[in-house]
Amino acid sequence: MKLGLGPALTFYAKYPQELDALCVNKPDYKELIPEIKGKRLNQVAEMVNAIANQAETDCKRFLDAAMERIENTFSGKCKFLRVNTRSGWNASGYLCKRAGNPAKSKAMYGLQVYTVSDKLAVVGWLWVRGGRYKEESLKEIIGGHARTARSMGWRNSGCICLYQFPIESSDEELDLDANLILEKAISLFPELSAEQIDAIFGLAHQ
Amino acid sequence: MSTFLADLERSYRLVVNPQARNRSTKFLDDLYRAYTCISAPSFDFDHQSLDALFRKMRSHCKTSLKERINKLRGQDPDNPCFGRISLFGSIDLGRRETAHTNFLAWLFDPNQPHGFDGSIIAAVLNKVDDDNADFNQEGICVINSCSEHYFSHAGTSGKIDVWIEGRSTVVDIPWLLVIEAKIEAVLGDVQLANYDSEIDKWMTKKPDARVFKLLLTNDGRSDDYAERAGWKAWNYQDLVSTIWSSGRHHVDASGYQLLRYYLTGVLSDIIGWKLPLTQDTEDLYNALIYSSALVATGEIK
Repeated sequence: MKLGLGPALTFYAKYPQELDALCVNKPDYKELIPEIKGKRLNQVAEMVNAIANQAETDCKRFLDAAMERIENTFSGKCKFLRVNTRSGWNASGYLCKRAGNPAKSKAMYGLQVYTVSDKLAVVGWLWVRGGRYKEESLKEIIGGHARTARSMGWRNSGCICLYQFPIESSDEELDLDANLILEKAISLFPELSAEQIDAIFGLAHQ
Repeated sequence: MSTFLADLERSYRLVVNPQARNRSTKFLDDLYRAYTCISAPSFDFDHQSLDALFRKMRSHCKTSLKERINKLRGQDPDNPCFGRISLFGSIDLGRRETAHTNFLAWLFDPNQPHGFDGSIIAAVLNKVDDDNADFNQEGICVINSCSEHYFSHAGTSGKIDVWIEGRSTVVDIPWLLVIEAKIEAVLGDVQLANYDSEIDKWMTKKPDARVFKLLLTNDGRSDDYAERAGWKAWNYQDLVSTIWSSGRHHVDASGYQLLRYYLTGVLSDIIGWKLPLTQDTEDLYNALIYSSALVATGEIK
């Protein structure tokens, strides 16, 4: 059964820069699309906003599905608590020991969808409290292709990037297959062993 | 139906006790997929016309940017967007908020030895107060320019990034420029409201003063409170184009090269452009908006 990513999010994946440029506070339509004027301009502006809003809803649905599958892999090893966010473009949660309180956790996991260069990308990350100097240690615990926030140019210190891959779209596709992207997002997220989780908590509380 | 219910019960037990033997999440996965498919809202729009429009937009903007970059290279070769060296990037402080706010407080103070006198602060005030735009560099006097203005009163406390008090010598009216700059952090819920209480307190001593409030963010977006309370939202391209529109005319100023390296750093470290800027930039639309600000200030003719 094909689970669609949603036509709005698929369209966003095709034109992320254009939609980003037109979804700012006061987009300069005159500069960006000078031939559009009057009534037509209002129609386009409405359509652009509707697509952006719907794409965010589609993205939230996609991230919820991915987060749920990732959280299944934590079961029995640690506790987790999903964070309620207003934005549909990112999803995150707290991780803590089985006997701990997730609300007081110093470790987080999450997924995000955002524009990287001219492509919409899915990003998986882990974070521990303590700043930049913990990034290398966290990277060593996870291994694989993880990269530090510093090397990614991210502002969030203490974070590592587990993966970042673009949502590829073609001209013909009106609704991308979400399953393919979902499987990739889940399979690239490392299934943490109990030892790795203990090491993460140890690092977070250092 | 009975098979479905039996599967459902087995899956429910699995959720309650994930350590159970013979675990199989297949049914749960299928159920979830079915749920997400059913709950997916239908959304329709005119793909074809938008597709054509966005292609046209991309091609138009690429052409415009190419033309402007070529003109700019001839008319203003020192423009920071053609630079390679970042002042703060060279010492790994390219995204450090306090490095930038300290530099701005120094640059906006005509009493400092950079050689720009009051020209840069006048350009910034005129852009913030674009309705009046009545400041000129000769008639501007800065009394106090500081970065990290700490305050604490009536249960509120905080630190304002840039606080500049001055006086217009032409009409003898005091003014205050307050800047909140965000690079790494996110704007706090009551941060600006707290700053406003400090500004109000200052205003009680100078009731006729003109107050200019500037919120600098990566995307130039403000929130509801900022809009209601009169904070003007700029992105960092606005800052660069405004400062450079004035600074570029002072080639002999002792701080001229320093200013170029600083602004190049803002474009590369904060905005994230790969410099020197070319028409093939990954950030096509922001580069175009930056170039249109240069057209507005007369740097590109």
